[in-house]
Amino acid sequence: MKFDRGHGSGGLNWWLMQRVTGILLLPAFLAHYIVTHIGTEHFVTYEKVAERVATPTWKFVNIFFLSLVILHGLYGVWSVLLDGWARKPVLRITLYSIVVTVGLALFVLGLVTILPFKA
Amino acid sequence: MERQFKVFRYDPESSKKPYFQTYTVDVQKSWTILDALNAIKWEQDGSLSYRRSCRHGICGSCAMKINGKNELACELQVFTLKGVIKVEPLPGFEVLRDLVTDMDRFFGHIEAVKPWLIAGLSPTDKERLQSPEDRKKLDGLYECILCGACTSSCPSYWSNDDFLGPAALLKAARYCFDTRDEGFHERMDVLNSRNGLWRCHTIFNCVEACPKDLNPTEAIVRLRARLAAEKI
Repeated sequence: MKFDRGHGSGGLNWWLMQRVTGILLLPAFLAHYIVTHIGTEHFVTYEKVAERVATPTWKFVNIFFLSLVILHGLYGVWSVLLDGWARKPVLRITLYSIVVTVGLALFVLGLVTILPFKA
Repeated sequence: MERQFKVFRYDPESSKKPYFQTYTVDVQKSWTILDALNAIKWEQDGSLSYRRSCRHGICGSCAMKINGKNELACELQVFTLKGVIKVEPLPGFEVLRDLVTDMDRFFGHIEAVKPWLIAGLSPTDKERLQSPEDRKKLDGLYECILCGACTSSCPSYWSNDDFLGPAALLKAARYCFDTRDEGFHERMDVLNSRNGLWRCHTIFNCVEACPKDLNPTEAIVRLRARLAAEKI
């Protein structure tokens, strides 16, 4: 039986992206945990978080963090879909569209949450 | 010593669903599972079907699932197992009859990676020599006997049987890392395809299943590194 190579590109770039974002997420998660839960006196409060998020540096860090999480997480989901379900072209395009839409929606939701904070 | 064998049975020509049939066999201490299956077929039930050939762990014909693990029936000795011994066909492949599976797709994938030396780009009248050091680099890659135990144990293959699978990728590595081979770019289209290298999720089942103690996962990782280095 002849090998079916499947449609589209192989996935080298996305595979590399998954590794790079995975490596970047590790210190990012650690930094997030330390800043939010260890570097803060007593409990995390809305005011403390709002004050930090309002600075341009933290806005950039949070948006970068958000992008990494969405890319890494949704590529993982897409990879699982490719393994088992997204084999027929129509279904694959539909599922891909859903994954991209969810990613964009989450990113926009993150942006409208992060950006309005003012110092 | 009497031992019980619970053997998977399936006949596509009958309306019966697959079932397990239990046989009691008087085994000798030195017997392998294949010896026991032969005893069943020759003395109790001639309708039992399974593949066998060399009886020495070289041909790869008698790979099957024994007590939940992919093994070569001719290498696994009965005395190493306790209780009732459960014998099933290799998982992930279509069962044709009893313990015989359809290996067509498996061999199609092996063929797709061009498992031969591609050295025609620089023709020569002389023998293509290889130093002992370069030959040593192929250790752990060339010994595959194509039994299918690794591919059949791979969850990525279970969910997508278009995935090349560890055996085909190990075979590709055997030629891609041969210093005399010049066919890496020719194989790249298949390796870098959607059903190629990237569908492996480093689960390591193939490493556990290989009866020759080979490491297809490592070969896949090395192929990925080479592909990434070539493309970037």
